[in-house]
Amino acid sequence: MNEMNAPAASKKQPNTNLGLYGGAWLRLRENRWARWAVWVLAILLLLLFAVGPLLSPYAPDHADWDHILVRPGLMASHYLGTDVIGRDLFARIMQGGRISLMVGFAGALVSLLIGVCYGAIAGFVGGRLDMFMMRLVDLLYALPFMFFVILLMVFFGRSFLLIFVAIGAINWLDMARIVRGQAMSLRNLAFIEAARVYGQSTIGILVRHVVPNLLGVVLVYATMTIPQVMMIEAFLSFLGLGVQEPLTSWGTLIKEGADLMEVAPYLLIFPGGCFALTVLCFNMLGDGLRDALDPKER
Amino acid sequence: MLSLILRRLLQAIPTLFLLITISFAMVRAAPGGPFSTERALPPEVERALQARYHLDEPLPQQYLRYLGSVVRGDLGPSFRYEEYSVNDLIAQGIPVTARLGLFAMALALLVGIGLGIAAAWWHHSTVDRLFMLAAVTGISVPSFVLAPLFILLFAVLWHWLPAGGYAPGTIAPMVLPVLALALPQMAYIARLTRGAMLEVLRSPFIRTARAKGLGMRLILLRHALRPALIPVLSYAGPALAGLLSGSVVVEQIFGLPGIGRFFIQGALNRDYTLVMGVTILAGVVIILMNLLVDLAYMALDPRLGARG
Amino acid sequence: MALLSIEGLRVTYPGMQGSLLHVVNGVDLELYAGEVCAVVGESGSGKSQTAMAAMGLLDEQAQVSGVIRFQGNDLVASKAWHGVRGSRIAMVFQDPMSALNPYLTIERQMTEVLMVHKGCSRLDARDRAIKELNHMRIPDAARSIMRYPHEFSGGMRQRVLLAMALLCEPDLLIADEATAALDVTVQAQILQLLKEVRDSHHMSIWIITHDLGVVAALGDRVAVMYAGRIVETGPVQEVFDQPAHPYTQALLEAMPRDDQPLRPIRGQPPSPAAIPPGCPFHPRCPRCFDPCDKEMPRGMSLSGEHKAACHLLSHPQELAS
Repeated sequence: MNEMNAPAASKKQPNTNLGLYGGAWLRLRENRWARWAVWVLAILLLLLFAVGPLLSPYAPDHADWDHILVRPGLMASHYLGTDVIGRDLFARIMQGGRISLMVGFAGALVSLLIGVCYGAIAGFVGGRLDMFMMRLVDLLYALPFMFFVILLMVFFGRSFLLIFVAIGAINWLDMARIVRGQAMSLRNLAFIEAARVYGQSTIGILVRHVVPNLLGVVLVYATMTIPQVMMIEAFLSFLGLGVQEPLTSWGTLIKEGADLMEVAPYLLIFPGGCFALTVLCFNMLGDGLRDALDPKER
Repeated sequence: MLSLILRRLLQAIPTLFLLITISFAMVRAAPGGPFSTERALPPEVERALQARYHLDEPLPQQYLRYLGSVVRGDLGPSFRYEEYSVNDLIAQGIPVTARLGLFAMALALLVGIGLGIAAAWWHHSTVDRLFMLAAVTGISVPSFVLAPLFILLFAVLWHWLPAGGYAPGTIAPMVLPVLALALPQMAYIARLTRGAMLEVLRSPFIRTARAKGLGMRLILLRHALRPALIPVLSYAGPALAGLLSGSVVVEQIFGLPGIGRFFIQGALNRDYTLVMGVTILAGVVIILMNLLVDLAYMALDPRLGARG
Repeated sequence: MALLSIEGLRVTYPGMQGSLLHVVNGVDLELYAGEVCAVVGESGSGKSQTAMAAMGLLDEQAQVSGVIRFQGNDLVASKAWHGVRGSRIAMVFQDPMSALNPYLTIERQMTEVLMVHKGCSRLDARDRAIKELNHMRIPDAARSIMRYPHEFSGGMRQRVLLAMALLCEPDLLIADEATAALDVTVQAQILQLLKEVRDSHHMSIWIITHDLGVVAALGDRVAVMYAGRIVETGPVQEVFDQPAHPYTQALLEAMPRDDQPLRPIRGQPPSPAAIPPGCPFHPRCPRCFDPCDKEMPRGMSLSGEHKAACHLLSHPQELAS
């Protein structure tokens, strides 16, 4: 390397004063798309979990047979219309959203836990164990997991818990690889060596140096996993294998909308739009976080 | 070259073994047999059925029998469609699914890579930003939202294209399914290509190429594209897996008589052998794809080709 | 008339939160036909950035001002690098291991230069390339040319890069740390090659290095850069014998020699985000005095071409003390 890179290196200099995450935070705030995504997600969460239920008097599973397939309208009491048995779409989207997001967070958490533990063990222990563990990951990678999950859902009932487990079981592979790579490179880094020389205990090193360094990657990855999990849940629900009545999720609503779209396209467009927007925001936030923590010019 | 193929095929054996074992275990661990869903059969009929499908044997023996027949390429008889074997059913579905998948893969790769190059070419411009906004939107809208939306717009509203009515040899009914299947992958590949291109464009050999006074076109297409394709290639395996599972819903929505539909029907009907057969087939296709990817790496990177 | 003259060149990059990074801060430099000019300085002194500016290869974010006149045309104003870069001015970079495209044969990478600049056919270009490889003493050039870069050693790759740079018989060759990444023996071979090139091709060579040994071996003239400025320039022998600027003196003293202990320069070069006021070297200068931290010293002629920018030169009483 010659000084071709010198300006880039010195560009980072102001950030070192702010610490690893201070600079990242500044860069994230400068990212317009990520800022938008955070706002939209915040409003969405507020709407779904706090304000939404106050806005609509209808229960999501209340069938109002006198008002079936009401068209959406802000003036009407059913803002987003009703479905084929007169259930309020707004209330259903609220409930579906809560479930979709909860599945998203829980699934991401499951895959995060498995992946981080697996990857960290393989990376830090190294040697034969690492080789064996990673070979297993490679092996599992080549399997058609979606098919297994569909089988799982079909044969073992469509329970809520199973969805998390099934999805978590798919998604941890990437996480494990990434964490293992990070752990390997951290293990050999100079500052760990230095900390050891200065007599810090292993746990001290882990807490003070390794965890903060891993945190960024894990955060980025978790943010990107949430939309993936929501996608899988919606996929299963769309096939009728996911969340079951009387509960609903965005995937289920999309399925119901798709069946009726020639009569009532809004039944497809509103849940589909909400779902896509949410996934989009998570993806943008994930991109923003990644760029902020890994400031290569993109 | 040949030794690599052989080595890869050998390496695929444990994967294949795992694949068969997991699907067998999962299907057999499921509560309720294939004949338990309907009204109770007379015991002697059920026993006869079980004997016919060797379900009365102990599990290890069933497993070995199944393993043996799969190795011989026979996926067994279907539990539901009595007159068909799983091989027959799959053979029926393959032309549809293969066409759907291949077209979608080709479209996703060609257009995705093209868009990625264009975005890298006009890096930091409005074009770049627009493409990338479109791409991040594209990966956020899954096939099962796109497909009904396409039907609504292009078939119901504008009558441009049919939403179903597949018959062998027809093209129009395939357009919307292929698009719905390909777009999310295309968006992902475009992002991947752009990112890889920009990464490569920072490398020293690109600086040399610029110092040689080469134009943008030569630098991007001759010098940067090949190394940038490596990560795209690595994604080909996962992309195919995504397309396969995506085709399950897309076939369902468009009423295409492909393997994905057999799979869903088989799962709902508890057609053990059919479901296992499709899962194994999907696994084999992914394994073959990964082999293809390895060969393509060698074609792309002379440093690998030298070792053979 | 100078082949290349740089006047008041400044290069800045946008930093975080609207700050500016001053990488090159008013460089004046002239290169004459047939001479070897060496620019020395620590890493981060802006010597490579100056060369990259002359090649028009800076990042798009870089803001460049000043004049870079090559054979009469101002390249900064006209941005007319087409037909100059790669053909009239060629450049060789530091790390030969990564400077060649690993995915293309040597032939492809060499012939494309001639095909682009001279409109040669592929066959003619190939013959020409083989000849140049022979000049650079690549064994079995006709066969080697079909190989990929990974099949060559570092020294061989640097020869290939040199041959590639010389294909269009440029008027100026810029060698940016061209020997820094190589083993000492290989380094000597490449230096020898550069000497031969200088004699046989009658071109100017602009060497960028931090190694004063390279300067001594090859340079006709030397320019010492610090914090984006040239602090001293003159014929190599004169500057080495009678360095006028304290930075040059410190550099020479920091050179490893058999008979003396190594004397490193204390402190760090300044960050381009915060260049000290006055003479940028004053925080590290052992002879810093009153005006140094306030006023920028101007270049003073010592004898003929030997110039330096230091307050000591205009304050003889300090110089004596």
